[in-house]
Amino acid sequence: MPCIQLQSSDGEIFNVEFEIAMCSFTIKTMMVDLDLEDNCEEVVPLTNVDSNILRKILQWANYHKDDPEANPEDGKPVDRRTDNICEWDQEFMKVDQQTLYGLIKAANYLDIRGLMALTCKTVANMMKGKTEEQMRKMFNIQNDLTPEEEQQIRQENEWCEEVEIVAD
Amino acid sequence: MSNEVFPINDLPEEVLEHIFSFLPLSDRKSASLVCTTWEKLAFSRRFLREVVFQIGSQETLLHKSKRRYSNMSVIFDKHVVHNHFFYKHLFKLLELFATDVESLHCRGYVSTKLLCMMVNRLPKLQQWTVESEVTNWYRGPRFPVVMQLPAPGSLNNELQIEMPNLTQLSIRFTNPANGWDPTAVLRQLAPQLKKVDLYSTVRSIPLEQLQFLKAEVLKIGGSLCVTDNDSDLRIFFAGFRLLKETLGLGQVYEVSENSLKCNPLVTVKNLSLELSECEDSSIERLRHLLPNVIAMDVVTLKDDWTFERGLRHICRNFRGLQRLEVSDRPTRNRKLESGLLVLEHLDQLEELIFKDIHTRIVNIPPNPLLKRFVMNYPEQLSNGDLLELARQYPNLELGPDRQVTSEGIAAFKSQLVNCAVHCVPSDTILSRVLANNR
Repeated sequence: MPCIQLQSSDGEIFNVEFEIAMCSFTIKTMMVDLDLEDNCEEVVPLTNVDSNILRKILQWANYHKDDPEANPEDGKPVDRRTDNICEWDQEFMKVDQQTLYGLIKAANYLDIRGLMALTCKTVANMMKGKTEEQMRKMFNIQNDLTPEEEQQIRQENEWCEEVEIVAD
Repeated sequence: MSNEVFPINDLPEEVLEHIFSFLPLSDRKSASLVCTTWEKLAFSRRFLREVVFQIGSQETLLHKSKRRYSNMSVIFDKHVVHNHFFYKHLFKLLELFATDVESLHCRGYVSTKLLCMMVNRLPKLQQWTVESEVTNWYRGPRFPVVMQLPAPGSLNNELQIEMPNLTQLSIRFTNPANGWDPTAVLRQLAPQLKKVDLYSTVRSIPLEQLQFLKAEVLKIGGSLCVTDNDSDLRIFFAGFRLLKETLGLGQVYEVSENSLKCNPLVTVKNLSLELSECEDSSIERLRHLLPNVIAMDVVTLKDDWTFERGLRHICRNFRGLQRLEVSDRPTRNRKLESGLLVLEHLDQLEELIFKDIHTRIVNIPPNPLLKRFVMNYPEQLSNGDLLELARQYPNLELGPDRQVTSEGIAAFKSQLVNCAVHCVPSDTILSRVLANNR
């Protein structure tokens, strides 16, 4: 099995099957651009990902290596659901907030679309059904809206409705 | 200061926007009140494509909106139609959102002049819908505020429209009143429209004056096709040169005998029909007008209309159908039995879709070429139905990845030995029953 070597920000080196590493578009592009052979001696440094997070990501990528690749141009409607997370992923997402945060940042940096969707859905699920005050509290955000702006947004929200989707 | 373990606002904006993309509108509304950044991202330009902004008699604070709405809707009801402040407010908002609005929906009482003034302020407009349902409360137009507004650009005629991007127009009116005569608007826009939807219960659109040279999709309904004037209809239908995708005949009451004399629309492959009290002969005339239809959607609108009868005439007249989708009223819980036997006329059928049709598989005659069969009530399929499907289509698949063989069904049945009636559980994977004929 051809492997490549990935180095985390804290210096740990991971031997990763080529196929698994390819879930990251960032690594994929890097390999193509640098014209690296499958079984390269060179180590790919991932300066933004520490070993804890990288280990988690590789665990996820290993489980999902046989997933069909999602093609954004195949005309499918955009996935907006958050209740379609498979059991394994739900277990996988039982992590503390710090790890979740690290996973989102790393999935974004490494451009792993499936993991990005999973982590963002998880955060969206944390927000669902919450009031603005509860959301602020959850993420410790300071309200920087003036009372007038707040009133204006409230009025505006009142007149927004969902577009009716007409199926062709 | 932000949460130290989860500093959400330190994430790149596109990531936060991605998170919000999984929130329904109600939660996005709450998110927009959290802070300035969230307001910007929860209602980003991308998300606003899924939102309609309703213009009503709102407070003036809205003029400070930073959102870039794509879709707008205005209701001219009795509360606003004589209110001068409403028009002031309306035109201020149109000006504010002018650079982004791509679709506009106007309902209620609107004069042609007012409509022209509105759309001429929306240079990006692509889709325009006008619905007029005028009742007794209307007592003539009085728009002093509007009349003082200058016409934009070089337009000097107040009924003139210059909207090069506008390609979709939908006009539906059930009770057209004085003051709303769409002829001037239609005549100008007809040559540029790709999607046309015309519906009227009173024939007041002068069909013979309209030429839809670029139209690809036509929806027509009400009494528009009912006319005694042979040449009107002929000229009207001859005006469609590129029509191909869909010819929806919403609420067909009657297709005039004269349509027989029109040149058939040979390019039309898809037809969707909303049937109410359709005469049998109308279906026959439709077939003459549309000889090459191979795909059809049929919807019933009325409870008293005998669905089986319509289906019978469709199957007898459109024997070359390759795709048929039939929808009954979802509220009606009526079983279709012998009525489906007419499907045997469709020996070219490759795709059959039933929506809200309650029936047993045994009532559906097998079609030799059928490749895809979809029912949205799989929980009503009994084990006997499954066996029947397996018999008719040996390579039956349930859902995208479940192969069901007769052994599988037997195993399934053996697990339910204590059940008098075997029903397939209403699992989402069963929402599509696919019959693959290889």
